[in-house]
Amino acid sequence: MEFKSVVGWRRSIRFFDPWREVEREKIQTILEAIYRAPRVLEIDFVRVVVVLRDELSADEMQTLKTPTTTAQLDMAPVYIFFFADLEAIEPACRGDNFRQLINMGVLNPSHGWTEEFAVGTAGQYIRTILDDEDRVPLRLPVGGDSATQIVSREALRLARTAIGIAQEYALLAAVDEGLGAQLSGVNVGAARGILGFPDTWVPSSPMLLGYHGETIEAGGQRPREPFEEDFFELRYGHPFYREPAVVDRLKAAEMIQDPAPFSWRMDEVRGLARKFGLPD
Amino acid sequence: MAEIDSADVRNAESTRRWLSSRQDLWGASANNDTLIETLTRFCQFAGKSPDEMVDDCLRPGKAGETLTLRTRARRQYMDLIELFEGAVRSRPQGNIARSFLIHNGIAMNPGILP
Amino acid sequence: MEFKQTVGRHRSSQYFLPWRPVERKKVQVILEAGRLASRAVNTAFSKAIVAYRDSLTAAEREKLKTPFSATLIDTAPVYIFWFYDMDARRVAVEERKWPTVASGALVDIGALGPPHGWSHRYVQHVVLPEVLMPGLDAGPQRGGNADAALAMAQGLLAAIDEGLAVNLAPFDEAGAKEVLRTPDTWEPVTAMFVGYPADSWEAAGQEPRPPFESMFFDQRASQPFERDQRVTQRLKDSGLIQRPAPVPWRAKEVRAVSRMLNLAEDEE
Ligand SMILES: Cc1cc2nc3c(=O)[nH]c(=O)nc-3n(C[C@H](O)[C@H](O)[C@H](O)COP(=O)(O)O)c2cc1C
Repeated sequence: MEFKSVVGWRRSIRFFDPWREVEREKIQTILEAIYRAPRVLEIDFVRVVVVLRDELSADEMQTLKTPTTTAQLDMAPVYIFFFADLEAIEPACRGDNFRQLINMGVLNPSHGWTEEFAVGTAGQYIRTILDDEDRVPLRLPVGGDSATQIVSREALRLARTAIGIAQEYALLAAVDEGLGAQLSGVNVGAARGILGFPDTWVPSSPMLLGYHGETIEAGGQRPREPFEEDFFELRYGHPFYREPAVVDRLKAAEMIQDPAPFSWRMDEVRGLARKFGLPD
Repeated sequence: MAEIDSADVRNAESTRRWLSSRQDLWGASANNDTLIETLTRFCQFAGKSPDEMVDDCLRPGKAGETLTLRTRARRQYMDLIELFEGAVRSRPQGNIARSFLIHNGIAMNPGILP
Repeated sequence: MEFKQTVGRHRSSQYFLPWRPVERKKVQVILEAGRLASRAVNTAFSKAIVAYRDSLTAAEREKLKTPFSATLIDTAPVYIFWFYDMDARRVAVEERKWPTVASGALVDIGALGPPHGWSHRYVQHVVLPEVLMPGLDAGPQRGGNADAALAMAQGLLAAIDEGLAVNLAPFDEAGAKEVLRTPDTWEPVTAMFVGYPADSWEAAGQEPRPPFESMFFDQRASQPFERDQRVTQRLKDSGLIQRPAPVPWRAKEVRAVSRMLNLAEDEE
């Protein structure tokens, strides 16, 4: 699909056909897209675990649910979990990846990139982030377990940035593959037990993935606050002027689509409730 | 406690809230009799009035002003509705009971029908 | 451009044509794309400020630099500074001004409703107190937020789709506060440097990654996801996977481009 229509057709899908599996090659394609996402400061943060719903036990399914997310977990046949491994920062401080990129002509002396700069200045910059004194526990202690890591907020900031980039790549790749997707909260403690991810991995919201159980319009593009609330020019407080002609061009390219709710959305939702045996 | 009848159910505050929330969301409904009838059956099954069921699940918190969701009570009602659904052999009827609790602020999530 | 091409063509671009301005409408496209990204509880955590090299004084540019962005600030014509608004959740909860989960908008538009157990009363009595309000008393908390990066990533791909070169690099927070007058509740994500490429769009080639099996796992965090080579072949055909760095002519290209841009010459 054209990039702009992928963006335009993406919306959080909350009804999936639970009986339809996702082909493994489509899952791999999504992972390959994440693989190509830019790395924050060239740190290899990202870790991704693909979980097939039907390989989870009923108990595991139950514990993953939160009061706000239940039906979606039942409907989506695939969950893709995203993490950032804080252990990836240490090799970055040593300049390992920078050195490799210098050798490949990606980073060059024209921009000051030398072996010395990679290890000294750049590596040191990352070390400062890692060692920053403003620190928080990576997770709240559960029960008697107090062994949780205390990490710098600056490191978490980078880690979460890496997660967000991976998540958006995944969402878009799913749309491009003709699939529906949604990021969703789950019980992280339960996920830790089921997936067995290490303590150094920062967890986040997984992406639920499957074939649309609702129309791909899903009631229309979801609302946003005015453009001028979020984007500024030259300084904060001076909104970036939103040129209507550009908006028109993006409408023609299917990136900006008719807004929710379509007149027939509520009928659709009630129909979906009957389709899946859900309350209305 | 005396058997709950459909007039009690219809007059309960939580029932009125339910019907009005449904109407806001889905538009006017010609006839709510089936809804009331099914909710009455569920109330009889549970041995509770509509307001009691809602109060079991959402209670004033320690500070008094805001309501707090009682997770265990919610789970008990989820199980009870499943039993009810089995007894009446009807998902739609089970869903009417769920709809009542949902519009009153208590999330109910039955399994997806195969 | 096809989506897979857009993803495949990403390079951390180093060389921008300093004399070629970026059309304002292309900058708007980047922002429009960012705006449409997924966002938790439909809240505007992501914010951005656009600045132009030529609209800042040399002293202001200097203040924005970090070791990673010094040359990029000197050469890229457009900078987009992305932020995470640490106060966005509080504003959504207290003001209910925009169509967020807190305002009940997602229920109203049929995005989340009774089939998922949601109703207006549920938002008010459960989602607000149990999901959205906890922690607000502590005030804005640093430590990042994936949401701001979701928007930035979508903007980044839009830039590539518009035929632009992009690079993400950190900027100086105190400098940004002074020059861009950013609020105290905004935490930096990264800067996006945007321009037309001075080297070929292929640049050094696709940048290296650690082994696929060290990043992607199957069902358990200990079990690598097996990579099917037939799928990778198809992705090569569609342009998502491209020739890996370094392309054979890279050193010569870098020398020539550095001369063109009056950058310090490659010493080799
Ligand atoms: C980190 C993150 C977590 C999310 N968690 C949930 C969730 O638990 N349940 C849900 O229904 N939607 C969730 N969403 C989806 C957002 O509600 C959705 O993106 C937003 O309402 C905008 O709608 P759109 O994605 O259709 O554009 C999440 C989004 C993000 C970015």
